[in-house]
Amino acid sequence: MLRVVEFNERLKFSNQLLNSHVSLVSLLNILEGATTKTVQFNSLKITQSDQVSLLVEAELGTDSFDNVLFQRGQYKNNQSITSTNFSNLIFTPITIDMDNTTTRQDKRLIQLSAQFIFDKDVILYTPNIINLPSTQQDTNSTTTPEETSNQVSS
Amino acid sequence: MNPFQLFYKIAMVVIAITIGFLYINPTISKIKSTQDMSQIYMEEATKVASVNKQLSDRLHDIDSLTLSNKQALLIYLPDKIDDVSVLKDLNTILKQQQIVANSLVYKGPVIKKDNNEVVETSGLTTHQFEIVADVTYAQLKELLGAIEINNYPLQVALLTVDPSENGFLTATLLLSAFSREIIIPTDDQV
Repeated sequence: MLRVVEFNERLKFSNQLLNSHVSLVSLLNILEGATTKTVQFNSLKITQSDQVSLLVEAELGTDSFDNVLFQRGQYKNNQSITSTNFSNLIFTPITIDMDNTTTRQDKRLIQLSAQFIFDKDVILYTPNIINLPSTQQDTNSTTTPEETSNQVSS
Repeated sequence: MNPFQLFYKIAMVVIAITIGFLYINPTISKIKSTQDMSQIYMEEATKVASVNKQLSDRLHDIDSLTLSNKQALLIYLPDKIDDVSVLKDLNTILKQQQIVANSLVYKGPVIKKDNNEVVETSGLTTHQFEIVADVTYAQLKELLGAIEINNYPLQVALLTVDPSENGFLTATLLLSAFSREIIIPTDDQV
């Protein structure tokens, strides 16, 4: 009885973990796809906001208000992003560097904070069949056992 | 008619009624109760037999699993996390992505309760590990991809990316690994 209960519990928890296994690569791909070339990410923070969603906080930089408006529309129209919020927009006009009389190109004119919420269902990890381990050991493999042991896909 | 005979008859009737009321009636009730109990026992015995059959089927299911599948399950959700092994695995993953970590630290366990369960007979323990490394964006994606296909779950609880020197990014990853602490309920708890 105890053996069955113990096995059942382990399966139940494993199933829970599998069902909540998200792919941050997918999340980054979605953000990449939805971000225009005129907008730059200065920093990024991804946290688990609750059981069903991920919160992404970013500091963005761009050169014009048109870019901000267009980018906001792009994010809002993206079906994979549950919600988007832009805040703390700071506009810094072009300043002339007195030493070499060039404009500061390294810093964007407009800086703002962005918050994105992603549903975990949208970015769930889906196993790639190519990554499945083979049933037979590859005798010609040059990788060491310790390297292969922890890189087996589920 | 002899008045004594009449009295005798009445007395006999009274005694018969008394015996019927004080002995036979409770005995019949007791028999009925015993019959009810017996019926309940039979029903419960049938249920127990059914549960035993189910248990036997489940044990057969468990036994019919291949050893590799059982081992995979134990690796996926172990009873205990060996922090040194996980750190070694993380270091191997980093090496494979040609990333040199600035730091690789075991942050300790975080006890997580089961969701909405009143009776706690088991718990999932979260163990957190932190990686800080200077990476390119491509390397970061490769690292996340490698972590995703690990043979036990390493969930990214927190990821921060900030610009660093020479076009690199400083990435801080807080990873969660899980173990299942088995608590066998005692007779008092059952």
